[in-house]
Parts: sequence; structure tokens; C-alpha cells
Amino acid sequence: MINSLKRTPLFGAHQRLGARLEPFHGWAVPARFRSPEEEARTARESVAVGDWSWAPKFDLKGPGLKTPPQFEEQAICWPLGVRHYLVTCEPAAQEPLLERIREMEGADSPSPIYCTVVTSVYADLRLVGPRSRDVLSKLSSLEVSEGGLPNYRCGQAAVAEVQAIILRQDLGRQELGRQDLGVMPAFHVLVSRDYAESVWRAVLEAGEEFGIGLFGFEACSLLEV
Amino acid sequence: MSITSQSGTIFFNGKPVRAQAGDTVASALYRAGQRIFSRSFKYHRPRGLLCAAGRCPNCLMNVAGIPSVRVCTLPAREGMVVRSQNAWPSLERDWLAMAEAVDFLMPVGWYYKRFTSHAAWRRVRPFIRRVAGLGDAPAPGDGSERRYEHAHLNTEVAVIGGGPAGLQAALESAARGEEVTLIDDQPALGGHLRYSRSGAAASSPLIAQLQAYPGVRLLTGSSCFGLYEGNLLGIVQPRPYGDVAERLIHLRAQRVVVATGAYETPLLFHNNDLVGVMLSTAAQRLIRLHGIKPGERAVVVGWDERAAGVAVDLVEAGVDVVEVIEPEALTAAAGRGRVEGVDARGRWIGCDLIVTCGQRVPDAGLLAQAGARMEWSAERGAFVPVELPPWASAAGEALGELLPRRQAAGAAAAHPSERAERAERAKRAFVCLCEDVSSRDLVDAVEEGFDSIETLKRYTTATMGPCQGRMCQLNAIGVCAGATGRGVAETGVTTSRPPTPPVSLGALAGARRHPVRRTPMHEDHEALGAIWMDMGDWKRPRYYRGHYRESASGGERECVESEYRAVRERAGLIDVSTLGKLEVRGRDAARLLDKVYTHRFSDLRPGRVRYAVICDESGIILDDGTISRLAEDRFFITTTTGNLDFVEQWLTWWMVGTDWDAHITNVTAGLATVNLAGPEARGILRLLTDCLLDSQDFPYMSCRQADVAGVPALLLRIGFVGETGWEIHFPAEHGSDLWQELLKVGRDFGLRPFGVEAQRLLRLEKRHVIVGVDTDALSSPLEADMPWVVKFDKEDFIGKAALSRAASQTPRERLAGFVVAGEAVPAIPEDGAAVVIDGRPAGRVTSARYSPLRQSVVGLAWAPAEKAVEGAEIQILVDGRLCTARVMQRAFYDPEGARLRQ
Repeated sequence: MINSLKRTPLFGAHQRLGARLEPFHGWAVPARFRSPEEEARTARESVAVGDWSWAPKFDLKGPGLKTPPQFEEQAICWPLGVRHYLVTCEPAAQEPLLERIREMEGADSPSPIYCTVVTSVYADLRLVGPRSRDVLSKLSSLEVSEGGLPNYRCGQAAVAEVQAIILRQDLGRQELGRQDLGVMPAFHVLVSRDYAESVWRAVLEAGEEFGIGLFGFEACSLLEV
Repeated sequence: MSITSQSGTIFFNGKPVRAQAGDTVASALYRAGQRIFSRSFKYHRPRGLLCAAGRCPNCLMNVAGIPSVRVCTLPAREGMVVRSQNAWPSLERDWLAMAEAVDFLMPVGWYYKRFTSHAAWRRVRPFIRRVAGLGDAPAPGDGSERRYEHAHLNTEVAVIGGGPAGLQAALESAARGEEVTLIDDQPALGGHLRYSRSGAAASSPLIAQLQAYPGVRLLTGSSCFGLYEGNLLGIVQPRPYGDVAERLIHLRAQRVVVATGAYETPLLFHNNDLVGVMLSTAAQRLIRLHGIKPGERAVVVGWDERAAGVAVDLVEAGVDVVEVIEPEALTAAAGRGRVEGVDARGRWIGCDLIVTCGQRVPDAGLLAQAGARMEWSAERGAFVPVELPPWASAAGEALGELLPRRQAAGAAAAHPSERAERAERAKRAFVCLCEDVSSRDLVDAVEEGFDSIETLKRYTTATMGPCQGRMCQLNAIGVCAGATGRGVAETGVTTSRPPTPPVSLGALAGARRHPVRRTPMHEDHEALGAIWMDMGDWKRPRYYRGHYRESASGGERECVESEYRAVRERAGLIDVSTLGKLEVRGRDAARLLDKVYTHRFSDLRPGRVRYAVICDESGIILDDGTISRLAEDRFFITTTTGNLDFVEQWLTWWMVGTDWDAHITNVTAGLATVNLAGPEARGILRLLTDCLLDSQDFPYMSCRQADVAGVPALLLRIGFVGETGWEIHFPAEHGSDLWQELLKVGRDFGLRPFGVEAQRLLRLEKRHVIVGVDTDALSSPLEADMPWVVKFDKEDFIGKAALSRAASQTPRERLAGFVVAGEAVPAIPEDGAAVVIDGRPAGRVTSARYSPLRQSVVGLAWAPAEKAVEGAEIQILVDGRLCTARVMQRAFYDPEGARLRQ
């Protein structure tokens, strides 16, 4: 029987980059590539990319979605089309959220909702830092400026020649020493899982100009403080 | 590293050349004494620095393997390798200059006149292709590969041009709090202020003020080559960072301000292209920007105050200004290859430099592209833009408003265009320096009937070279106007189209990025010695060399046959994660599938699987796959690897306008898929699942959801390769683990991984069709020998009408299986090999392989319907000879399907 951890599509790439992979909600996830402090610093000063493919994602469709669904659990609904939403949440909130969605689901309802778990359908590359927009602008024609894609808005466009969903979800106000760096722009780039390595490489190449770094979940906890 | 703060060395034609801080390649070469910079396109006449502003074609060189780079605006970089081009054997002594001696053979339009027969053209084409053109395109592998990239930016206001007008416009917008992007093609802002008297002092405060605004983005050294619909600007930025050669920026602006200024055009006189003839702004650039003395003895030609100004500049730089003469007085320049003097109405003046103050012309190409009308202004001696589109505005000299008026220059002075109207028919008075088109060429062309400026342009190629008309358009219009007697205003301008200036193909193409799709087991295949094949963006193992890795004899055929035997005799495992996978849910899901697919699915019971074909309205097969019913309102569809996106869109399309409760989700990437097949498949799978696998519990064409090795999976009992087998779909994050587990458990049963090539052989023996390989854009299911997939008793489905008609007629051709008979060493027909009936091609082979089972070549072919019957003989053209084949309409292997149902 298989008892091993789930692998993100970038598992091999992380191994080659020497990441320290640790269990995280059943997944083998990079905890760090170098010291978390250094990773966080690169993100604050320029841009860093992390693999967030393990983050739960649900695809919701159906006539019951005339308005965005409301969840008590910590979840974000991103509109993808008419009565069509992508729902993301923290791993800890996945089970209660799924339970809640299952209650809403079903053909018996006069306005049913249909949910498909798409966590593994999409690779999620998380770009964090003041230069994250510059990296994205080299890979996509989607306008990701402050006004073009405000926080908690999403867009759909090709990124590195691959169809993608781009979610803007900023991190909090950042400080470097005593310097207030303001709110840090951050984006999730969701691409079909099988394109993950191609897009990952393209992001690293595009970010070379800005000294892009890698970050694991340990650095993220520093950035989200 | 750019040479900005200290001196460095560049290499020109293999020789080191010192470059000082701030030097361009051209200024470094000029300082080192280089005067010939290029050879002309047609006659290979020597050419020297003319505009020094990146507009004319005179300084095109090969830089680091890239041809036709304008070196007058290219900052010198340490170690830069620069070569002259379009000259043989050297720039100084170019034997191809002999072309000038036989110029009588090359009149205007000589290609059209000389090469009227294909044979004549074919004879001279190799020679012409060798000597013509500007430089050699880099070839793959020659070490000159460069990186390119694209970027997409947005701004509120885009200001094109960093001269005084552009700086002012940008400042005003920035002061209003607008986000401004300022683009300038020169290495630094300031425009003509950079090299005019006291100009630098005037521009510095403006630049500093602008840089202080946070919302200002400066793109210097960047050329805006096009202004497109929706305020999209195309901008090329050379060497943005690192080893990236060029970046193409797509800039979208809410408002555009064109402040591109004006540029100076050459004067038209005999030998106006000699080395040593230079525009006044070029001389000022050399003096002020680079501290270079342009020559020793100069004649300045001009009729306005600019002539006096540049004369003073030259004197201050140490040049002996022999005389300032009016353009009317200049008859010809003279010298062998370079200027030695001028003929001023019969008077000889010795000099090595002729500085011309040509007409200043608004640089309004972008405005014209944006839709502005160009109108002749006799007062200013230039075409000026009028009727600008509402979203674009212009400022400064680009509008022509600041150009010197006729009164200022004196009533007697004539504008160059007017002089061009009166120009002599001189073979060496060059209008178009890029293409070596002289005033006589243009007049000859007009006399031949090309008297419209647009046809004249196309016939003579004047204005069509690298300068895109910026050096020659006004003179060409003037000569045309003179030759036709119509006047300049009536003659009009040629159409301005992007790109101006030219853009490299590499910049347009962008990054060399080809997305690759990998299955979750990609690295496992790699470890097993997979030989890869590309299927669209996917990488798939064609076969595995794993078992033969140590053996030299392990060629493709041995590997494939070994994999084939494993499947037929024991068990095989193939990664089919590339199959498209869609989930269709909703109360009307079955209704949708009944509508789109030819088979019926509303009566499919949950837990059952059915083969499915999609046709278009003409009854042509578009795709096939399987449909499994998982619940009353839930179906699982597989599609062919390449048609996933199409099928998803096709299903969505046919729901438009309905209120059907049906919802499609693409789950392809989320599921890894393997096919475990062979006589031992059940035994292997039984060790990993509690699911009952016997045929009575889990019959052929049914599906179950069960755990396999602890991983939740969907199992389909289907058999593409003709053996007992299961297609197992499971979460992609477990792809590698379950693949390895299956191989581990199957080892004792002789399980082998197999690739696409073995799969194709196995399915061919079973006579299973691959859509797109065995079918084409004319194939219907009836002709493809699959009438059973079409349910005519359904209410309606796409293609029903066309297929009903086809069913009532005898088909012209049908897909037939064949076995090549009686060949000792059978040759395998290639895909597309002709089927020959009575000596005439009558069909084509779609697939053929050597079948170890039948020990003969088997295949599928389209053949006339009367020949596509059991036992008929057809002939197939293989390697130039005809082979006889016997038609077999049943499967070559297990025709009763007993193995599948076992």
C-alpha cells in the first residue's frame, strides 16, 4: 500500500534544487531552499516564487450560484465565469469547507451546485514581492498593475504561452529593519499541472533580471506575520 | 558591460579599437580614423557616417553575429565584436564595387526587365542571392544565438520622444498625478538639446524634475516602431539586461503624446553619398557628444541660420571651414571614394568634409500610422500631420509648427523638395541611399508610366529600405513631382506603416519558449530509459531501452517487439495520462451527450462504459473516446490526446442558448492514467485492490471506483490493445508512487512498461482506429467501418442528417484492413502509401506495422468500397514497387473479442 506523501508537479524540480521537503498536510512540500530569513528578504526586496500546488482548490458551477457562495470557513471565491467560481482555502479549512459544499451540492436541489476538487488539476506558482508584477508582465499580457488587477481579483490569460488563472492575493504590510515597505503584492499563477515545470522555468528565467529567489512555507510564515 | 565611465576596447574586423566613455561604436571607430562604414546595397559604393542618429543606412554593421545593426546609436561595450558587411574581400577594397561599372545593365526595375524567363532567373539567382542583400542572417549553431524577450506594460500617458517638447509634455502629465512612460530612441534624454549650443544646460533641469516624480517610467535607448489600434505601442529595447539582446515591449496607454521631433534629410546633388558628406546634426553630435573633430577642411551647405551655427561649431572644434555656400550653388561633390572637394557652379573648393543643412522634416510616421492625414505645407517645406485621432496628441516639431518658415529663410530660398523638383537626372544623385536609387532612376520610372508616388515606390523600391523613407521620402516626392509636373502637394506622401524603424525577427518572436507537458510519471519513464516522442506539447515514451541499455543490439524494433510480447503473453503497463479527461455533471448531462455524440448515452447504466464518437454536421469524425456513467447526473469522458480542448469547447458550444443543467470540468491534469493489460493483468491488480475483478463482477465495458494500493481510483474495463485490461485513473499526486507499485507487484508476473509504438502495433492487430491517423477530414463512421456507433433512432444528434443521407448511398471508399501476402522480406508501407487498383492510385495506407503474430505486414487503408471486402486483393506501392495485399475486414487478432472479455 502507498503511504507516501502526495507530490506536487514540481517535486522533481525541488529535489534538483536541493529543497528541504517536509510533510505539510499530507504533501511533500519545500520547507526551505536556503535560510527562510534570506528567502523572505529576497521576497521583500525584489521577488520570490514558491510552489503552492498543494493548496486546496475547488471548482464550483451550477444554477445555484447566481450570487457568489458565502462560506463561514476561511475561503476565497474567485469568479471564473457565469455561475462558475474557483474556491481556495487554507489546508486546515479544506474538510469543513468541502462538507459545507457537499451540503449545497446535488441534483435534487432546485438550484444545484456541482463541485469538483481541482487541487491537483492546477499547479499554483506563488509570486511574492515588489517586482512580482515586473516578472508577470514579461510573461503575460494581462494587466497586473495596481488598478488593472486589484487585490482579491483574478484574471485569465496566457502566462509563458500557457493558459493560466492569475489570482492577486497580497501579503500584509512588510518591514525591513525599521523601513516600512508597505503591502507586498503577491499573485497565484494557476496553470494546468502538466505545464508546471515549463512555467516554473519561464518564471525563473523572467525573474533573473530582478534576482528572483525561491521560498518555502517557512519563509511564508515570516512574510505573513 | 557598457563603456560609460571609462575607456575600453572593441574589435572591428578583428582589430582592437579604443572606445572612450560614452562612445557609440560609430564614434569610437570615427575617432580611430575609420571613415568608410559600409558599402551601398547595389553598387557597393563606399559610405560614411551621414546622420549619426540611427536613421540612415550608412552605418549598418554586423555586431556579435547579428547583421544590419546601426552602430551610430549602439553604445560601445567592452569586447564587442563588430564586422563590416556587404563587402568582399574588405570594406576598403570591395571587388563587388565593379557593379558600378556595369550599371547600364541595371536600369531601374531591372529585375522585372531582365529576368522574364524562369530559366534566366534560375541561372543568375545563386549569384544574385550571394552578393545582394545586407549582411548574412545568423544560422543555427553559429554561436550567434541571442535571447529575446517580451514585456507587457500599461500606462496612463505614453510620451514618445524625449526632446524639449516630450519632456515638457511628460512633466505636465506627471504634475497632474498621471502615470507617465517616456520613450526615446537615443541613449539619453534631451533630443536636439543634447548637442545644440547651450542645449544640455537647458534640458538638465527638466530631466531632473521629471525623474523626481514617482509615477514616471523612462525608457531611453528604446525605439517605438508602431502605434497600433487601441493605443498599443510596439517598443524595442536593445540589451535591457544581462545577455538579453532585445526586449519587445507591448505598451498600452490611455493617451499618447507624439513628440518625436523632426529629422534632417540629405540634399540632392551629384555624388551626394560620398564618404565625408555629413548632415549638420551628425557633425554636431560628433563634436558635442563625443568630442570628435569631424574633418580637417569643411564646406558647409545651407540656406538658413543653421548653416551659420554649425559653421561656428566646426570652427570651435578646430575644423577649417573653407566656405559656407547655399545649396543652389552646389553642383557636385567630387573625390575618389571620399570627398576631396566640391564643384560650386564651376568653382572648385577643396575639402574633406561637406556638412549639409538639409530640410527638417516632422518625424510624424507614428501619427500617420495612428490615422493622421499628412498635408503639404508650402510654408514649411514639409508634409505636416493634421486631423489627429482624438486619443493621440502631438507636440513640438512633430507637428511641424516649430519648423522654420519660408519668410524666415528669405523669399528666394527654396526648400529641398522644390530643388528636388528641379533636380538634374543624375545617375549619382542618390535619393534613396538604402537601395541606391538615384534621381535619374526615379525620372526614368516616371517616364515608364509609374507616375503615382505609391507605384513609383514599389517599382523602384525607393523608401523601402532600412531607413523606411526617413532619409529619402521628401526627395523622392520632389523628384516625382518635378518629373510629372504635378507639384509636391498633389503628388502626396507614401503610406506610413509599422515597423519604423525596422525590428529584428528575434524581437518579434520573443523568448524561445516551447511549453512542454509532462505526465506525473515523467521522471519514472526517464529512469526506465524512455525514448521520447512529442505529441503536441506532450512528451511520451515511444519505447523503453531499459532492458537493452547494456546491449548494442537493442534497436527500436527489438525493444518494441519485446514490449509487444510482454502485453500479449504476460502483462504490460502504459502511461496514458495524456488522454483528455472531462467530467460532465448535471440533470441534462445525458441529454448533452446524446446531442453531441453519435451513440446514445441516456440509456447507459451507471457503472457502464461506452465507446463514443463525435461527428460534425457533415457527419465527419472529429474525435473518439469513452464515456463512463458514474452516477445518474455524472459522466466521465475521455478524449484523444490532441483533441481535449476542442471537445471541451464543442460540448460548451452546443449548450449555448439552452437552459440545460450540464457542466463540464476539465480534469485531465488532475488525474494520472495507466493501462494495465495482458493475460496476467487481473492477477497483478488483484494484489492491489479489494475490488472484484472477475468478468461476472467487473465485465468488459464497465467501470468501478475503488482503491488501488490505497489510492482512490476509477477503473475502466476496456481494451484498446485487445487484451484483458483496466484503464486506471487516479490522482496525479500519486502518479509516480502507483506506477512504481504496479511495476513492483507485477514483476513476478513478467509485467513490462510499454510505449506508444508497441501500443500502436497492438491496437492495429486489433484493428482499432486512431482518429486523425486512420481518419481524415472526409471520414465518416460509416466509411470507417463503424456503423454501430451511429444510433439513427435517436431523436437528434449532430451529423444525423448527413449520416442518414450517407447511409442510404453506397460509399465511394471504405477503411479496409489488409495483410501483405507472400513477401519473404516484407517492406512496411509508409503512412500515406498509395493503394493501386488497375495501375491507378485509388486509396492510401493510414497505418501499417509488421505483426509478429501474423508474421506479415498488417495495416489499414482507404480503398474503393468494392475492393474493401473480405478476401479482395489490392496493391500497395512500397519503396517504388507494388506489393499485393489481401483485404481482411475482421480484426487480425482475436476477432471474436474473447481475450477482452476473459
